[in-house]
Amino acid sequence: MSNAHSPIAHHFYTVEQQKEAATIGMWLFLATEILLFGALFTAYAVYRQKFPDAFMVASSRMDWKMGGLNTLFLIISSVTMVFAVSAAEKGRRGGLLGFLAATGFFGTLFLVVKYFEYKHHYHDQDVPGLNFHWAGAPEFANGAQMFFFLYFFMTGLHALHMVVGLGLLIWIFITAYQGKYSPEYYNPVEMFGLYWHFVDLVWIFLFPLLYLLGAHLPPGGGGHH
Amino acid sequence: MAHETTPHNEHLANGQGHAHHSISPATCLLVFAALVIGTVATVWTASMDLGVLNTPVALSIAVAKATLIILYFMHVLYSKWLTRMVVIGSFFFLIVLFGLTFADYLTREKTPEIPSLYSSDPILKQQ
Repeated sequence: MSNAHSPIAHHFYTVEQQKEAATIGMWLFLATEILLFGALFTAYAVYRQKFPDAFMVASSRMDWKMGGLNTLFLIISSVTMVFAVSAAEKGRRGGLLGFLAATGFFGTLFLVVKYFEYKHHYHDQDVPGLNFHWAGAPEFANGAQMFFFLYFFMTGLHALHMVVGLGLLIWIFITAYQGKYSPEYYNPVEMFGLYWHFVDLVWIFLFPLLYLLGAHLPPGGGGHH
Repeated sequence: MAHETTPHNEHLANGQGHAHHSISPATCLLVFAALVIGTVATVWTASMDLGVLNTPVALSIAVAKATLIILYFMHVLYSKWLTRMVVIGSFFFLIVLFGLTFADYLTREKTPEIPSLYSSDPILKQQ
């Protein structure tokens, strides 16, 4: 096992041990990510408790259909990522490349939808610090601004994770194309899968907490201009 | 690729421990169906006025979806306890973060002598 093409790095004894080390290392990184987003969810909870009605009215300005569509895109991309890891495990290079491409496709669709959402919010003067203008009930102005600040910070950080994820995906795709992975060694594919599913996980909480607070209000009941 | 027909667990260098189970395509598609149904349920329940239950219902569905992703897609169901402890530990500290924050914010109103963000008394209100 000491030849240059061994899938096992010299400081590991077995493939299994090497994989366990990578998995634990990846989950330790994800633990810091969970707490990074966790702090933002805490900030959200504190301000929502302070401005419950303003958050509800501001949230009704969201297009939940766009958010729902993006939820579906991320779930589908997670499923294709599971199939990509499965293909790598079985040494099916063609399947791996195909499912990685599908994952990248749905991840890109997510960002395209997000771009149009942000553009629409900019047009509607919803962006704190840039052009925020609240034309609804004046008592909701402060809370609504805080809602949109948290919306842009949380979805922006999430979108940044998507961009980083797509960059990593391209790297995995190129190395897979070069035939660097085998059933003995596909740790980068599997660890990237963990990252990708984590980003999906964050969105599963962002969607109801940001888009659907005012979904039960009558149409136009919010602060529409 | 030469390993096309090799069963999943045969490549393991050490014979000890359980074989590495991978999620089967059928399980994967079942989880996918559950996640889509969960998303539809989230939108459907949010469109109804459930009063104070709106957020608990939405969060319960989200937690159920997240659990499915962690257990099946992130392979925690098939991983060793050392990995599981890291996963459990990270969520434990998340609960500590929420718990200690709200131990502060949710109890401020009950001590009116302390200036509070939430006090209705304009003198005590700190803003």
